[in-house]
Amino acid sequence: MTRPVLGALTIGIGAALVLFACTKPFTKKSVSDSGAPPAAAAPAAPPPVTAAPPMPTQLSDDFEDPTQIPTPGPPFAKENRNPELILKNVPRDQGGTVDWVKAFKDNHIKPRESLDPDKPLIPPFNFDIEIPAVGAMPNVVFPHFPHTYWLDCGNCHPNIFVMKKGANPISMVKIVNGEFCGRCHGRVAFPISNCARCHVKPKS
Amino acid sequence: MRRTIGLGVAAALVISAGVWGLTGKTVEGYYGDMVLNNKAEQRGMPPVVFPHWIHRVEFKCKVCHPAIFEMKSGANDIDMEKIVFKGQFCGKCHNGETAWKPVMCARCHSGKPGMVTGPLHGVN
Repeated sequence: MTRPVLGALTIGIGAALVLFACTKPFTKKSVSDSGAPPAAAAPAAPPPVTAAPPMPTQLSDDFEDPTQIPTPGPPFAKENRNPELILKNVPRDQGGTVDWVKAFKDNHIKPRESLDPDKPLIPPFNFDIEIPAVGAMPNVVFPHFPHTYWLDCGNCHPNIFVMKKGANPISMVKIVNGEFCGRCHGRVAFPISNCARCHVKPKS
Repeated sequence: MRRTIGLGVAAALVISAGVWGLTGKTVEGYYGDMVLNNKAEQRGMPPVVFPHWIHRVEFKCKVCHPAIFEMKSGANDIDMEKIVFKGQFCGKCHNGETAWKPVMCARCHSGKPGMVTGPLHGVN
């Protein structure tokens, strides 16, 4: 009994080493591939240092040489734009993505209404629409409140949704393909896999 | 013998998956981030990864959509000339007055070559 197990373990470790050895050059290659422009920029960097013109002093911390290809990195790596700090206490939904509606309702974020600070706030309005769902799925209750908080009427009406009850042939297939709700949900607004956030009202 | 080989293959898969999981790279970014690569890579720059999340913290959607950006990936004909000299698109705010000037290339051009225009996948 011990011999087959020992043999299996030996083969397993050996095969894993072979597999890893096979994958390692590949990952290394892809990394060096993906880093090709910076790698190309890195050896070229030392010579311009001696000949580089003096940088403008007021931009010395932030300024990059525009003649060089930049080194890719996480966006907004600065301290005041650090997602680990800013998104630390923001509530998250069951799927693990940020729950932006809860975030503004709980005053975690206060997004601006307009680029013009004098523009008056357009209050969001409460108007729920129940949309029947297929089969045993609970019906959808569409809340206008969070949508009118984020958006103007003109963002959705009449191009994405016709303003007439029953005039929009919505289906999950169309949503997955980026029509109707899928114009935002599944791309920027919360993902479609989060069924229970829309299908909330059980059929009586 | 068959069982031994089967067990060996299973062990190999488990061990290599573990090693890959420990050493494998993850994608930088958050759900909703947008990759802009219609022109960047053709012109020798890394693709842009637009961080939607920080803009959602600061602004409501209606501030930018649809007046500044059409709500469809690839539908906005953005280039640096329009941003820097004409003050269109990102340059509407990123002009040194409302937000920082677009002189720090890697802040936006932070993507990996080969990324496809559209939502950034594989992030939460």
